[in-house]
Amino acid sequence: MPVNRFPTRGPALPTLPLVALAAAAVEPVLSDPTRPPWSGLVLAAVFLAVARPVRSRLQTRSPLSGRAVLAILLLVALAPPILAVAARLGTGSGNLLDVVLIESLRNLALTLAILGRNDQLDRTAALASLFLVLVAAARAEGPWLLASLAGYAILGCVWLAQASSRSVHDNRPPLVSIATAAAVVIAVITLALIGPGRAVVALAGFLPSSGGINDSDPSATHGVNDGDREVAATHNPQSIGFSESDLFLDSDRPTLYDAFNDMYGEPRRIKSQDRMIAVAANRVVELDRPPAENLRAGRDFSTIRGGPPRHARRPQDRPADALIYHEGPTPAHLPLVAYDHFDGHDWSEAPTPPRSTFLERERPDQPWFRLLHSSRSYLVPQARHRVKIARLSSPSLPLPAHIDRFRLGSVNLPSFFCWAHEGILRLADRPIPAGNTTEADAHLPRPDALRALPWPKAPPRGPSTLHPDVAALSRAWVAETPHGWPRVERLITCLREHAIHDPAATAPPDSTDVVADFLLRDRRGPDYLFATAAVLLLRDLGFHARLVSGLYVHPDRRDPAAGHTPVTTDGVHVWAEIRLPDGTWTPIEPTPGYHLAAPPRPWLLALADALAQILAEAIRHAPALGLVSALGVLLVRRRHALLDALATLLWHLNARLRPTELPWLTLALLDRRLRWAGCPRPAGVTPRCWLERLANTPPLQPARSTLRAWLALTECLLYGPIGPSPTSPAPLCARVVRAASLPRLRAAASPEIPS
Amino acid sequence: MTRLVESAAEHPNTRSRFSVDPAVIDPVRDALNAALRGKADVIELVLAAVLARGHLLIEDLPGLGKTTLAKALARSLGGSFARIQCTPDLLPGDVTGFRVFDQNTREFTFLPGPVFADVLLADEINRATPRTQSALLEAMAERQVTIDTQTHVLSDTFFVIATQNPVDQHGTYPLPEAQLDRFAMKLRIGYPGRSSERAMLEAATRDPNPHQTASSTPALTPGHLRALQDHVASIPVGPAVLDYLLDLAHATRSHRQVLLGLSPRGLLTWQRLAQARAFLQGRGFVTPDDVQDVAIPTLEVRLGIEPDAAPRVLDEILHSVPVPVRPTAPP
Repeated sequence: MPVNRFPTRGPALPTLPLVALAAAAVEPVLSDPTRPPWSGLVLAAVFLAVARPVRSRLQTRSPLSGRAVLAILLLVALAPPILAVAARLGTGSGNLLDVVLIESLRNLALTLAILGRNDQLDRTAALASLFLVLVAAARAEGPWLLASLAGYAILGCVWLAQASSRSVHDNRPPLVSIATAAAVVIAVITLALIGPGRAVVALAGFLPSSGGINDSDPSATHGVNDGDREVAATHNPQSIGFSESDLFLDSDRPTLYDAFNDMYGEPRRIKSQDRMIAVAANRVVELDRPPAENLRAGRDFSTIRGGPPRHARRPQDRPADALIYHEGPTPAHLPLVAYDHFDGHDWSEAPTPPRSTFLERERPDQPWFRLLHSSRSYLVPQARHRVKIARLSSPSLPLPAHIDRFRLGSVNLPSFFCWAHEGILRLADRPIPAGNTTEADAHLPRPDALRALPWPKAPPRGPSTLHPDVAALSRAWVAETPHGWPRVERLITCLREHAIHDPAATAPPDSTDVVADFLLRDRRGPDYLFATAAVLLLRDLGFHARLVSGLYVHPDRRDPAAGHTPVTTDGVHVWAEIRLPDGTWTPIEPTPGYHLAAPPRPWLLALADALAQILAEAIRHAPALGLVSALGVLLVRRRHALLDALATLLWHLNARLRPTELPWLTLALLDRRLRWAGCPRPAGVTPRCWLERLANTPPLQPARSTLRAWLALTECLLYGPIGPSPTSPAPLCARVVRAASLPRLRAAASPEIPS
Repeated sequence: MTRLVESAAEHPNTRSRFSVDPAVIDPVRDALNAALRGKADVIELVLAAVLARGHLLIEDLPGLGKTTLAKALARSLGGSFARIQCTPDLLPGDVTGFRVFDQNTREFTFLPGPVFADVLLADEINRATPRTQSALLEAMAERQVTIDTQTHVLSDTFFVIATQNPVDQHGTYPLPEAQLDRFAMKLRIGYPGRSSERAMLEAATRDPNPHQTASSTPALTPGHLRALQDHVASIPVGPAVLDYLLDLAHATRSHRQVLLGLSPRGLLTWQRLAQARAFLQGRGFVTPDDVQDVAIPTLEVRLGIEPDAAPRVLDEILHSVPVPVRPTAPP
């Protein structure tokens, strides 16, 4: 018995609630993790309330045409990727590709369900909702997800039963099937809730698991092989996430210098300069105690290095993971070590400040400390940064600059902390154990406030070591800029535009002036050369500056599902800091591709800035833009003529290649011309009917006999039983192509001419 | 006896090399146009139904020329004409005929009813009871009647023109779908144009008894008509047009507002009507234009559509199926 594929009778399909429930289930995957998990169900309820009357109206009163449906579907499907691209271009951040694709799929499902033009759209919407639920089951978790899945299972059974009923033209709703399916689902849920524990475990085996295919899969969220999340921090401090842990690991106290060597390569030592010279006894100073740890050998940062090591292509261990996990606004600069003295090749760490009372506990029952410093009016609150230590082994707290309160795990004694360098906190006598979380409330400087600060000129620190050409270059950059923050901004901007960031580039091994080679000869290099150049140029211009190494939290590395950003060894970064007039150090970013965190701005101001930037760019490239615009306008206005020329050229080619198919190729060409002329022939109208109507108009009067002869010939060849024409149809077709030109068809189709 | 002529079309392929001259139907056309002024398009469809061996249902208001058209057609075709005025007390025997006892021969003899005519006008057919209507059903579908186990074959050119009144439905018996499907098409004549009505009035003053003075010379003989009908049935239908017809039939069955899709018998009738239309256009093959020209009256009579929605639905169906504009390979 033939089955009608698109039956139109029978009980209505519950497509809308089915799709709404699927969208609610997948909402936690798409939205901000801080949003409550039940918000998806609320949105689904609102969607149902709005979509139901719209669907009803579309089905009964004003059904959309197929083209309108296609246009709407394309619009809703393309909106998320377009918005994501726009957001990335405008703000530098945006959703990842998988999130964008899921949003597109969700939009498609919801729109298909609303349109509900026929059963085919309904079925496609249901299929899309199934994919959404699979995504939700794989990526979301929690009791609300289970509730959504159970609801979807029941509704899905109802949907399938009613679809089956419609296919056999049964007008009665399949109540028995629906009741049976609902009873089974409810029984399973009830058994899981109140049944014995073993039953729950057995049932859990039937639930979809995102366990992945390896022993441990980072994308797994629960179930078998659920990766690092399975292991809570109380068992393994290496696990990710922000769970607290008091476990400390034994450590051989490696330093961040190991990460530097991985990132930039080993420093090259200039052997010819190693020479020991005895000094007179009266010039020898006996130390009564060993030097500070950070002033021992091997604790300096060389700018002459061998480049990143080439790793052998072989499978790596899975545990190669992040140094830290950062939660908070990105980008973020987390300084760990500051360098003060530069001898032409190597930077030496800045000395550790003497211990002093610089912080106090906020409340006795909480491990929060407040830094004691004067109020700084040029700062605005930013947000809270939370950093969980993973593989990083450093005593310095990876926290951004300008913090006013912080905590580290449950450490509640101020004596545990001291300054590593000015503005960089550290644990007094040990690296921060892995698994601990530190957090702080950070501030950001307002550029306008920095410009308003009084900037006294710093006295020179001895004779300038800058190459004269380098000094001239920097002075040329800032020649017309007043001293102070504008000069700093100008210098950094010029430096970012002057050279190219190339992580693989290295300074020449025999370089005697790294900065001169970098700025005058190579004009490309890694971030530490940019930072070195920035510090030295700033010092030459009378500012206090220093080199800082630490971690850079890249906005593109954010894991939206987990809500934090893992920072691996790729995040090791070197930048510069400048001392503000009140003695506070603030980061500046001289390396292209890296950005400082911008203070939060109202979106209206951000939009105005973006528009102003676009306008400025447009004015700057006005001639090219004008030319391109004029060409674009010309192309748009003459697009039909150009397309017609192309189609006619193709027709002439086909006339040589496929002469037997010429009549219907001519018909296809005329159909295209009719479409471009604004009177497209509907698919259900015959060519004779449409062309005869046009042939009676004055513009086509001269071509009427030709058109009729060609129509008769084409109809005969298309529909007649007789074989190929004894005479070649090419001359007649060519006459029609010339006679029924696009301008004539356009004139014939103009509304002034009565049909 | 048909007249074979050599085609004289503009292009050697536009007609079959030898065909029945379409001009042979012109006298019938002229006679009908003279009887029913200003309705050339309706008359073309009537001729198509005759040539396709289909029956005709005319639904219109009283006084628009239904009976006049039927009588003129009967006269033109040259066969016998009979008329039934359908009423609720009309019996099946009144339609088909019955056996009577002959006192002279002492035997039952068969008295043929009106269905044995060549052209039968069943006026106001929806006023007959369903029993009588179904008696007509066998005659229309199988061109035979069975009375007392004896089957009597009807005329080869048997043709029914039934009329019904769309208003004043009180006391009527609407034709069931099974019987509607026996009609080839349903036509509406409609009011004539102003000029046609003026000509009609003027003619009435010149000739007070037009029915008596009308030419009684038939334009065709039944043999001629049968040959024409056979020729129409042999007009070829190309694969592209066949596929187009099949797609249209599928569209009628899948449209959500059509309760009863096109039956295979209806599809056959549609094809035959399109062939007749092609013949009337002087063409030796069927084009999608022919299919569309006869689509509305053919589908309207047999698709289950709400009367108010019929024009829109039929328009949707015809526009939903693309016209073939490339040749289709035969299966």
